[in-house]
Amino acid sequence: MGPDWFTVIAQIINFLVLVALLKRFLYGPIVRAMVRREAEITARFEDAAKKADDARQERERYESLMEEFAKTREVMRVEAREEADTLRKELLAKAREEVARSRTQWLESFRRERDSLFRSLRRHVCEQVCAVSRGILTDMADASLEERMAACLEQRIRDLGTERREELAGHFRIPGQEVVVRSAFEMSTEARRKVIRILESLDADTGTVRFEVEPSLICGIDMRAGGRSLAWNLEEHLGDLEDLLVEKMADSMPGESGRNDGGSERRIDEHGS
Amino acid sequence: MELSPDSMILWQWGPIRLNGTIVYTWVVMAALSLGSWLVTRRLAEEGKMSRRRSLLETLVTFLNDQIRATSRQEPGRFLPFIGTLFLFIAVSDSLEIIPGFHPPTGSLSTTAALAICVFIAVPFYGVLQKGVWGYLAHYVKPSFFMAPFEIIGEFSRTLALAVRLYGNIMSGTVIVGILLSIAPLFFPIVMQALGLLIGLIQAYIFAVLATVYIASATSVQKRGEAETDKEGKGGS
Repeated sequence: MGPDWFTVIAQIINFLVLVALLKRFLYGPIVRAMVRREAEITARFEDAAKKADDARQERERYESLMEEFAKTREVMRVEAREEADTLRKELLAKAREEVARSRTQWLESFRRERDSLFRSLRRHVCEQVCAVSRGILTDMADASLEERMAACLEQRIRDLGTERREELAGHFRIPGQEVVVRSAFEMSTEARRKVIRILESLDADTGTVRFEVEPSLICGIDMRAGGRSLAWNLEEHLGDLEDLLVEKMADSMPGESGRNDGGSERRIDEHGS
Repeated sequence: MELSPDSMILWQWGPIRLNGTIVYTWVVMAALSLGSWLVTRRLAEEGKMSRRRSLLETLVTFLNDQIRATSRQEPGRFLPFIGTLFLFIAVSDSLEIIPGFHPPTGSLSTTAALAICVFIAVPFYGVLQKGVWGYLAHYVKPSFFMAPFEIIGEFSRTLALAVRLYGNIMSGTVIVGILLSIAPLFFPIVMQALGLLIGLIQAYIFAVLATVYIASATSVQKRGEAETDKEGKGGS
């Protein structure tokens, strides 16, 4: 029952060998691995903490940047709005100026065209009136238009009254003073004779009478001497017609030029007829 | 009935006898060493934890925690000795369930050898910690007359260690042997299961007691240091 001392010694040796073996194959590697893993975990924690700290700093930096960006954006937005407002006002002012200038130019152009049209109209109307009148006078009175105009002029001088006629004669009766008689057409002999008779009634020096053709008179006779003029022509009537047309045109201004033009033509046609 | 594997003589040459105790001890040593080597041979290369590695780490951590809790000291230098004691006894006792295997701890020679190892380890760690004279000084404290009692205590606890383990394991084997002859069905299995539990408990008790003895040797030194420091301060 007692211990076998050889076995005891052998078991002591066996146990010491086992201690050495386990220290070599178990405790050493396992403890080293655990220490290494703990070191790794610690390092990872430290790394994670460092990364978290970096991330926090980065986030703070980005937040700061974002805040700054927001401020800058707000400032830029305000500036852009102000610039846009200024630009809009400038453009509006320019546009208004442009519109005003265009309107002025257009009105000026319209006015010029209107004047030109009126001049042309007046000329055509006068020519037409003259032609019609000439035909009517020729048909009805068996006399030329100039003769009839000379008769009208004579009648007009007669209607002036004594005082006015004397005053007028005062300008024509100066001896040697040239008297210029202008008409739109070449006057006939009869017409010229009537004109001479009129001048004689004004005590003018008929020896210095000079007859001229002036197409701008359109239809009428104009006598000039000593700075005074005695005339009968369609100019006056046509002037009245023109004034009427201008007045009507001005009433419908500005804008509807096409309709106005049509209206003008209609009125002209009415006058023509 | 063979009560101890010592009596299983396999080979003899003069006084040298290769008995069952030694052979079964080699089997346990081979199992422990081979198992450890298989797990730890690629430890450095493994990036992730394997189950076996995790098991061994748990075991080592458990041993460390127990040593630390019992000795109140860092377990580093004690781990190989205490851990091997526990593993050897636990594995020997556990292999008892294998038919034909006789646990070497059921031999008084083995338990005596382990107890002698503890008997030597206590002064070894003490001397390692403090030096020869520092360790020997605790035998004469608080009085020179305590030295015989201290020495008797050293021997008696060694004897107690050897006999306690031997008695427990041997008795388990004997009980199973007796029951096999009385009630060969079922009952021996229950007793064998109980024997496993007893074997693990004995391994734990043996390891804890060894830790306590070693710790007492080193902690005595520390107390002695503290007293010396206190005296030095009082004298000044």
